Amino acid sequence: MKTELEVNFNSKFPVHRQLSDALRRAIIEGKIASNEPLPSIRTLAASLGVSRSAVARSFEDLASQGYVTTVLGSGTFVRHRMPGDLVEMDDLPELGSPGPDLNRELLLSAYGRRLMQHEREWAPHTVQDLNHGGPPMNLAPLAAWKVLFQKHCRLRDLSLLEFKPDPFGFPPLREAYASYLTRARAVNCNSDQVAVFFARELRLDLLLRLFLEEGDFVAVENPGYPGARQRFAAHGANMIPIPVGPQGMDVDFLASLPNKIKFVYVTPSHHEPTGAVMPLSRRRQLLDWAKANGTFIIEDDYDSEYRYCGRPVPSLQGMDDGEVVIHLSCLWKLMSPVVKLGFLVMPRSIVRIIRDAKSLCERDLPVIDQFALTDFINEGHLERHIRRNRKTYGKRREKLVAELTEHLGRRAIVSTESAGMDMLVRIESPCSDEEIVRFSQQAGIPMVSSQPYYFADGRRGEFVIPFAMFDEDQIERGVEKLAFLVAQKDKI
Amino acid sequence: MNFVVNLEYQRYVPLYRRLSDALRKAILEGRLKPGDAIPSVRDMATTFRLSRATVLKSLEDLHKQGFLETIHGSGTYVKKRWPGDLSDLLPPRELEASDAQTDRSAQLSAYGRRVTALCQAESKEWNVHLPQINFGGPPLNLTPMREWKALLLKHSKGNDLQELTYIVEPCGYPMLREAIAAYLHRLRAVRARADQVITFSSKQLRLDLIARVLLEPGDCVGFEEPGYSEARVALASHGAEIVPIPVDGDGLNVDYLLALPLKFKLVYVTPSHHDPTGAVLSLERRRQLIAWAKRTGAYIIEDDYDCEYRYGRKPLPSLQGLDGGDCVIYLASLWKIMFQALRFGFIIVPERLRSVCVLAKTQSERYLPVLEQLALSDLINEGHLERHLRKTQGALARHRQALIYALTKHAGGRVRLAPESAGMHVLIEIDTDLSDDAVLRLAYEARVPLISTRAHYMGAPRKGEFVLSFAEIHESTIESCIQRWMELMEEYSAGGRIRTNENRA
Repeated sequence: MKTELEVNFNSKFPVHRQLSDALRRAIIEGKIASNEPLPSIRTLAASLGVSRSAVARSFEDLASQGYVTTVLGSGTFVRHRMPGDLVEMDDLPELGSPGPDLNRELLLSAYGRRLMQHEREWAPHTVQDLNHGGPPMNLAPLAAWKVLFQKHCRLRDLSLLEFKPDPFGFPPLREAYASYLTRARAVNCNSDQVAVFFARELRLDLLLRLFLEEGDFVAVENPGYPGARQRFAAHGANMIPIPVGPQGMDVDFLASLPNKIKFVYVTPSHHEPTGAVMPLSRRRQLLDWAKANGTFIIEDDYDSEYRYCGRPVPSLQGMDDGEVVIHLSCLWKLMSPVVKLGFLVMPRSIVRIIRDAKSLCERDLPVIDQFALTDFINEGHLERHIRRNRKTYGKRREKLVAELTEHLGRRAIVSTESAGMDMLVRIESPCSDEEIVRFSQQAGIPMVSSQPYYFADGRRGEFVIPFAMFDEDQIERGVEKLAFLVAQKDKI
Repeated sequence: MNFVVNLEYQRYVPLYRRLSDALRKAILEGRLKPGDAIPSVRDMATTFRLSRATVLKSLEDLHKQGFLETIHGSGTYVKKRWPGDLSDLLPPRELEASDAQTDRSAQLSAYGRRVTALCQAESKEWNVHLPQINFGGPPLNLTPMREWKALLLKHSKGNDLQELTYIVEPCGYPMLREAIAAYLHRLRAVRARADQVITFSSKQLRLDLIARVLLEPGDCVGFEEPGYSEARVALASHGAEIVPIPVDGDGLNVDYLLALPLKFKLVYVTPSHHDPTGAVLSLERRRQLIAWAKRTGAYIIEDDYDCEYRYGRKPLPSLQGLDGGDCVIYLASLWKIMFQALRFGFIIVPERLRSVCVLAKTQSERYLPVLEQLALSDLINEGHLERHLRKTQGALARHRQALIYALTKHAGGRVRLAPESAGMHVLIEIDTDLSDDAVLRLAYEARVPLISTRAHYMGAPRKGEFVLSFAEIHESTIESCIQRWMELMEEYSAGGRIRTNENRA
């Protein structure tokens, strides 16, 4: 055997796993020929400086997967016939060899073709940058969550699982979440209007599938959340950009449109990315308009939990009598790495159809996560967590504003809205956007340009800073360094 | 206090009134429940940016109005019984009935209308299920539950959870995808690289995604008749024109398919263990089917469900393996070995469909459960899964033997077993004059896990055809259950005859 084996004692994988993984790979790649003996447990253990039991365990694992066989008194051998070598597999074409010349790309559906048109922009790795802005890891409620998760992992025997899972989620969780939304967001709903989604993206996707035909009009904020725009485009919607001012979406503009609009997508509680909050009078206007026109309002109540001054504003949904507003919310901004569930609160008139459609595409939801989250909400951890973080984030925001004014002075214009976990800043400088983004990365406070949020003609020099991610020291040093880098460039 | 009140400006109404009105509204609407604590004056003043005097005044008002009560040294609470509470006199408010419902059906898209129609047709509940936890899967004592829980716990304790959880990989944790590709190669001769594997958190999403990227309304899809109804509904909801293809002892009748003058976009098959008949697609037909798909440019969806257990018959390689992943989309899941609650589903896509599938996946599900993915990759890579399979293979074979023995002994030729040798259930035909519903009810009473095949047929269902899941009954009780069931049937069909005789008389 000529394979080099290495054991890394600092790895998170146990020694036996490292060994079996390396040997398996070597066997699959043909580095160890069939019928070749593996070294004895004793020699291998001695040469690698690991225990014999670890080597024995790895051989055993490989044997159970059918790669090696142990002959008593003789040793362990790579099997002649590999697992997966089933009958008559010898004369098969090579892996991935193309069949006859058929242009299968043409066989995609309209939806598939639309996706492929945007292949470059929508590929997952570019989308990831826009996800920028989750909570900082050290402020995630990991400890409390772990305790609950482990408790359920141990206690719940599977006999407690419902035999026919509800496509809308574990009923007690829906109840707990409905009451949380009522308390925190003045949402007016009953638990039977709440649906839990594991795939958060599916919420918007399902709504569009059910109500939108290709070519229908939808109104979206400009600038606005690019993820939602992608989904609208994928479904072939005709998007009408509605300008956003300091008071949120321009409802007068919306009302003046002659088109029949199917959906309006708004983030009234904390507009992405400007942070604008829609005042109550305008909310009423929007609701009245939607009711008169039979349009659905999709309220993405995203990032509404944190407000640092001013009064919390109730959700649009709560001001409605519950027939035109579809309320989306998720715990991403609160507890991103641990819980990523999304929630949908829908008008009663569409509960039935959403249930039917959801059961066709997402019927099962993670069980232990749902149990743990129910407790997390009912035991008050969620609200405690929000309260604690609000204080921290508020300080970070203040710090950022103070530092920006101190170091960048007039060059930086900060949006006045004080909510959420990120902040829109305009920086006036001769540097290009890419340069500033690079500088900010060097300075340790990576920010992103607001360009992707715009339909076309994005504004130059506008950036989103996810201030909640950085502690006050980082902000202090970061802004100073950024200002220094910008100033240096200026001199040249 | 994390409680939102509407303090919208109103002319001539002082701020304290607006606050007390809002609180009252919250109490009346039940957002604040009797016994709920009202936050301290100081707390409310900071939250709502009001002066303490304003808050105090409004609370005083509510106090006077009898909505609140103060317990000395403890705080202020919503009164258990507030004025005007007639709840014990009136029936609880039935929201469903009182709220006028807008009819939204006119606004539905074509997809929405199809879903409504299909779900209405399918909503008839055919089967009375036993209160079985893991329906369709193995009994809980035959699942690797202990190993699974241990792995989940291990990973939930890990301190590097933090960095791991930030993996944004819409198609799944790379190590899991690698493990799945290797596992399926070992077990089913699937030939794929890890990046052709797409992980889904929910099994239903697999077919949904495939249908969405490939199907236009009106496209022809070949489907086994009888066949798995859930898959049929999922494909039909995307507008597929389902063409039923008969199934015989060797699985899907490929000759019949080939003779059809239609242009097919997709063919859906369950070659390892046809649902419900249990037929295995013969090697000859597998080759024929692949050659046809290559020639016509159709895709084959191979749902390799229930492929793990086989009794005295050599396994045939999967269609995907035979084809090398050119025109076969392979569907895999592990719940048949594990349990329903393990929701993961996997598809293996041909290279040329990879990018469109990844894009569609990103649009519908971007995050996957982290701990479960870590635990599952360990379960496979450390050999637990295959060890478990080997261990339970014997147990299931014994279950199957016990069932066949019991049926031969007690059914006395009234029950015919379909010739199959794989999976966890058998197809049986019962020769009786009882109605199918009566047979199901009696089976339920005798605790025999039986379902009717009615839902499997697009056309006319066959009377007296059922699926009996032998994995679910305990080995030692199979015989007594079957015996009891047969006795019940005997009794009732005799009773039925007596009644008809009486009627005649």
